[in-house]
Amino acid sequence: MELVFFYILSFLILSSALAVILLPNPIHSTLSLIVTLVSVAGMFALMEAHFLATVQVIVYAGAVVVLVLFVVMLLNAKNEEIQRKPVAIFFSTLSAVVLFSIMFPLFNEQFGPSRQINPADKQIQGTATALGDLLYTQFTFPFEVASLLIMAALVGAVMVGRSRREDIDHLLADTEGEIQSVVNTDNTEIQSESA
Amino acid sequence: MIVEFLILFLKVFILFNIIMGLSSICTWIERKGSALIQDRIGANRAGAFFETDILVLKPVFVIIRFLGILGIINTLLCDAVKALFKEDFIPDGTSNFIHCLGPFMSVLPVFLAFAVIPVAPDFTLFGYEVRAQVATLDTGILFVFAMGSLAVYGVALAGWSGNNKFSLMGGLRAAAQMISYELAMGLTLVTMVLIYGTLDLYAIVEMQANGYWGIVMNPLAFVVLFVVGMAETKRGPFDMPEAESELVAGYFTEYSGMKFLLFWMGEFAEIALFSILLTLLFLGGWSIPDMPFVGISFVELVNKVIPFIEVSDGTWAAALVGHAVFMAKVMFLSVLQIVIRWTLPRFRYDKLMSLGWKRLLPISMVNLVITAACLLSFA
Repeated sequence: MELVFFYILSFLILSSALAVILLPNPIHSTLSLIVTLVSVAGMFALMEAHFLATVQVIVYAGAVVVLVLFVVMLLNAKNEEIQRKPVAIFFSTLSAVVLFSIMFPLFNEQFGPSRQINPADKQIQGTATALGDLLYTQFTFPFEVASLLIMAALVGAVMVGRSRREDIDHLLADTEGEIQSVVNTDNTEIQSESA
Repeated sequence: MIVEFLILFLKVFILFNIIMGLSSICTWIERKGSALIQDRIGANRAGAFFETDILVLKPVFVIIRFLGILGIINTLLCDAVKALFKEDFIPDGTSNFIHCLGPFMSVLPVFLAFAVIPVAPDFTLFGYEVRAQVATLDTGILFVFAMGSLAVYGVALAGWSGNNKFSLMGGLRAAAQMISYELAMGLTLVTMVLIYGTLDLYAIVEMQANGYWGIVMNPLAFVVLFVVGMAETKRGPFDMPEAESELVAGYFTEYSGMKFLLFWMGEFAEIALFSILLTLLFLGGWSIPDMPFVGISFVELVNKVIPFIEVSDGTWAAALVGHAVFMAKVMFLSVLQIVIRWTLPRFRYDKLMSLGWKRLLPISMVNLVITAACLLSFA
């Protein structure tokens, strides 16, 4: 029974991942990405890692891809013309093959069929309690470093996203009268509304 | 094997009926209750004038007339039939598939979230120990949260596939609103999980039955989660995504017939889900506090009032009583949400955002820190 679900989920993951890069319409690509991520969550659930599966859905399917979908919708992206530059195809294939040939033996050694999991451990490993214990005892340092990294990324995003003072001044100098009138009408509207 | 499968099938069937029942009752209360609040009469025509000459059928027709005057036939039967027979309109210039995916995705996650909801205490029936919960997951409450975060896709896709600016604006507003309020919701849930020390909803209710209710231990979290719930369901004073005066009908402007009805079904199921979540986390689920003033416990009272049935822990009668208590609490919260929705005027969109980000988020953060500090120092 588990094997059947495994093959169904594998098929879903692989086919939807292919659809992400092959479909011309960006909205369809984004939707395929959701299917991929939810299927990966299903894979976690199949391995009794319920907590990881739930968090996968919350973080990736529920938050990250929503933002991607937002951007795609707001830009109103049209169908992409698939570019087939021979050089690009060559290098992307090469990097994929190299990555696979490095990753596969490593993963096979670590998590392959040779590694046996005690069925009694399997029940405990996936729970939130076990995960929390590990995160706050054995892996405290990597956990804190990861959170620092996310913090740095957050600050960086704010820095990139905020508009600089000079830019605003520049813009004002260009279309001062226009912007001023818009601001004024906005203010009067707000004042009259609050009054 | 077969018996277990049958039990599971029955559980799913009963839970599905609970969801549908709750959302239809909510629909009726919304229609008739809003009429009461606004000093109108409301739906009272369909079936109200049924007559018959056949003597045997007369009592049946009296009941039908009564239901018709109450508006139940109108809201539960006629609306559905009307929606089924309406033209299914699909706007030009958009993807058919995504247009149909919109209502589907706004209903499916809500229904899935009910899978981990326990609706009654454990009981034994014909020698089988039954837990009134479809899936006993290790991460019960997180699963509900995950499904809630998936509900954003329904409105976003519906808004986009309308192929007009009002729909898109409505979809974006709804999605932004849901994402913003999810933060405060997550922090509040973390606070409650800290207090109970478990993610399992059944264990949470058991702890409240043996100790204090959540609303006593952390009333602020209850208020925050109630407000967040109203905003997440896009109702009450927070219904900017479907503001008629600005956006026609927001993200479901282009939907008609059964698809339109699906959005409403999802919305009412969401109200029910939030009421259930609040009941489980704060109002002690199916537990009843002891009544020191009456001098008799609730179970003894039930045993005295209802003869022939022995209500003691673990019997099906106790489970039924527990379920009734649970549903009473859920209905109270649902009706409260509907009354608030028809009483308060609509917010302005920037005020909605500042309420979410500048008030509720800091409040829930401070609440989390204070709760953690209290737990550290007292426990």
